[in-house]
Amino acid sequence: MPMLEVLEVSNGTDTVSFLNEGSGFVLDSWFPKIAQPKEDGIYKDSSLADGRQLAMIRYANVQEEFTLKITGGDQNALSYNLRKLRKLLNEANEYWLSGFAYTPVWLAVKGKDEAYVRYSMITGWSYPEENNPFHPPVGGIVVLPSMDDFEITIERRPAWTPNQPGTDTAIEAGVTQSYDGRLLGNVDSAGVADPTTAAEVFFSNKHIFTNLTDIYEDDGGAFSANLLDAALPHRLLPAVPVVGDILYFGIDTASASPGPFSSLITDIGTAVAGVTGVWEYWDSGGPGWVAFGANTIADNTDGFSNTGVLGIFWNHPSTWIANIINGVTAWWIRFRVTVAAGATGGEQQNRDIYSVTWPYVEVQDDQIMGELPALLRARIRNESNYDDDKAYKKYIDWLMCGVRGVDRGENFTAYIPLADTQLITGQSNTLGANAAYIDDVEHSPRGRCVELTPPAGVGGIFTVTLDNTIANEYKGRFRMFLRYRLFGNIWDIFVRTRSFGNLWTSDTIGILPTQNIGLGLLDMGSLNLPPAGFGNNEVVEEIEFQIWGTLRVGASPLQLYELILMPVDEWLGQFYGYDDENANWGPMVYGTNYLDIDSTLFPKRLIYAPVRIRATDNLEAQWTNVNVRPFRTATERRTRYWFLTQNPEIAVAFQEIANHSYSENIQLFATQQYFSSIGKNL
Amino acid sequence: MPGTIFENTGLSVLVDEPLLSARIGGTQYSYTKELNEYTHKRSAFMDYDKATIELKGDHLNAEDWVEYGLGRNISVKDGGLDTSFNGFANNIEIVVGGVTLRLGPLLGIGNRVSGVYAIQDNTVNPPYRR
Repeated sequence: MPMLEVLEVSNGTDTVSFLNEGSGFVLDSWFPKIAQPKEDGIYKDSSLADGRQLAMIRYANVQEEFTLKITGGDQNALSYNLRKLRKLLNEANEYWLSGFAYTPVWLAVKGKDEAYVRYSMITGWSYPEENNPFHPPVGGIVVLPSMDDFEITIERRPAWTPNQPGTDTAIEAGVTQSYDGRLLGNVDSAGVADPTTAAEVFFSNKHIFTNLTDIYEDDGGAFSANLLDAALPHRLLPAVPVVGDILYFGIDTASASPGPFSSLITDIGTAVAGVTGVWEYWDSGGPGWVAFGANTIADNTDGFSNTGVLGIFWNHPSTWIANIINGVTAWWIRFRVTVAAGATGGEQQNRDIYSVTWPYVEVQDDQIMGELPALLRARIRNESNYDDDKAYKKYIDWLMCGVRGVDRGENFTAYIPLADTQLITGQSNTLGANAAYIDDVEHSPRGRCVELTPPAGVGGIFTVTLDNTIANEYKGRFRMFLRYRLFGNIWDIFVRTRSFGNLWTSDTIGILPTQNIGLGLLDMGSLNLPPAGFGNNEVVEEIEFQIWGTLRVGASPLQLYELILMPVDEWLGQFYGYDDENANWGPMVYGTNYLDIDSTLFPKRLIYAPVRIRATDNLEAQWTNVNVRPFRTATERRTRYWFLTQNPEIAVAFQEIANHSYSENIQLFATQQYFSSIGKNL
Repeated sequence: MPGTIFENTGLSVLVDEPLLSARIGGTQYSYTKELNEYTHKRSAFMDYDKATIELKGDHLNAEDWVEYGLGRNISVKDGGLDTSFNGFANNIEIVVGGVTLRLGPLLGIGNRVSGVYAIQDNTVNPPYRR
């Protein structure tokens, strides 16, 4: 008797077991096969060189050959058993052939002492003869095999998975940032990193190296201690709030890398009740406290009256400056109670309030196992646009995701600042001709940027240098973007990259005026750093990026904010809705729907980007995906998923904006893949 | 089927409605696993010159190309999303078993056509061509 507990063909509803569990099929022999490379792999193999080198590998489907004995009480029963099997296997064919067959059919296997059932989708089958349905004995006192040596070949996909086809498993993700002596982000109440499968992992459209340092409660003029140092849960507003009570949130200008910020992520266990308030910032005009303008702040907590992990997101006001509160000079925003009727205070639970200052999420090396890259699904919710209100202008219709292992550089960031503040370790900048640093609180995520102001026909130059403490972490292939802002006239931009003695110059891109509506992204093309062929043990001494901008005519400045290097050499996905020449927008993602980037739930599709309604999960629309291969990742490897988003400008057709204040949260799911038995440690 | 975690090869063929179509804006197809053969030519004279793309698909896909294929905007991207080729469908050949159907070339359609002809007078014998 085979040491098998499960060996069956199934679609989840109908099942034919090969272990004679009423099916009549009894396994006689089966030697499980391992997926082999197509054409034995593609090799670089020249008659002029010794040996050969593997260049590319793709795996073929597997032909599993089973020898079964089939029993049956009589010929009718025998025929029926065979018919059931053929019907199920034909459904397997139909799944791939038909556009309207949605149920996959799979082979399922589990050894008697194995911990997990494994599945592989069936892609074809054949048995050329039935040996022999008309040969006695059939029935009788002793039931003998009615067909002996029944040989069937079932073709399956190359990998086995622990998930039934069309399903996946949630994996934990999280991001933490150490700032001002605290660990912020996805942490527990003790401040220890706490990755999660919940929709509580946020990323933003920027990378700034700062975070909250101070939170105070102003209870009628009496300030609390810093709530970031309070034990959790801690109060949000006094136990009985009254008009004039205030909560302050700030980044101390004396901290390591201060600057403005554009979000707060709360985890409210007890909601505030009976309170209405206003969000304010310190304005340079008065100076004084000024309420955020209409549709410039999205408060998903509704004044801390909603429980759960929720965010408050705003645009930097252009006149926001630091001021002194409770003896601390900081970039402050505050929530001031304006109405209190039967009011009760709330509580922050589980983790400190923090600001989303990073453009990636991270998965630890113990989350995704398997022998082959795992297939992934990401569920992305836009949290920074309140509901589906377009007035907030933080809906997104374009998203790029690049995957990169942390072992290639813990300090790597895709967002290289073009400013004189919050530089990455190992970065130095040089102002060239006609370039200067300026304040730009509104458009720069860090409050400062570079401005080029050459005369017409003359160039402005700005140089970023990465030294040998960081340059080595930038080896690979990237898609390069410049985040910029232009006020009028036409500029020509190119980027010259010098690395390891090699000089690479991007195409020259002409930029048309963007009507002063926000930050644009200039696609400078793909880039290899340094030249291919160097192993990771080669330390790169320096990488230099020289940004040249030439104004064609007139006089208008060009502001530069970041050089963005999206990693493309492990996996890169680009997804978008669209707008047409009449500025009619395609499906956008905002507060009432979400985007799936899916390579697990619909096996017929390599990758699928539906937009679904949050309340029902129903399909609202589909984004286009520009991809070479399915969404997948290496196994047992700490990995970061880097994001970049854009939204359409309402007034201008085909104009996309990449403001820094967009913020989303994400849940990740995986289907692990194996060549054969899984064993332990799934 | 994924092979390695690092893959620097691969092409993706993006197909969109013709640029002059009222339905502009949505990419209809993204072909990767269907790609069987691909060549393209770029010239100093006109950059993207010509591409030949062979796809394997099902009959529904084939019928869709017969009905709506000519003129479709074609964009071919590599693994880094660089554009390898950009053009439009000028000729389409569908092969289903032993049956081959050819459409195009789209550039062969006349925009403004003029003809020179002779009038034959059949009222006289012999007929007179003037």
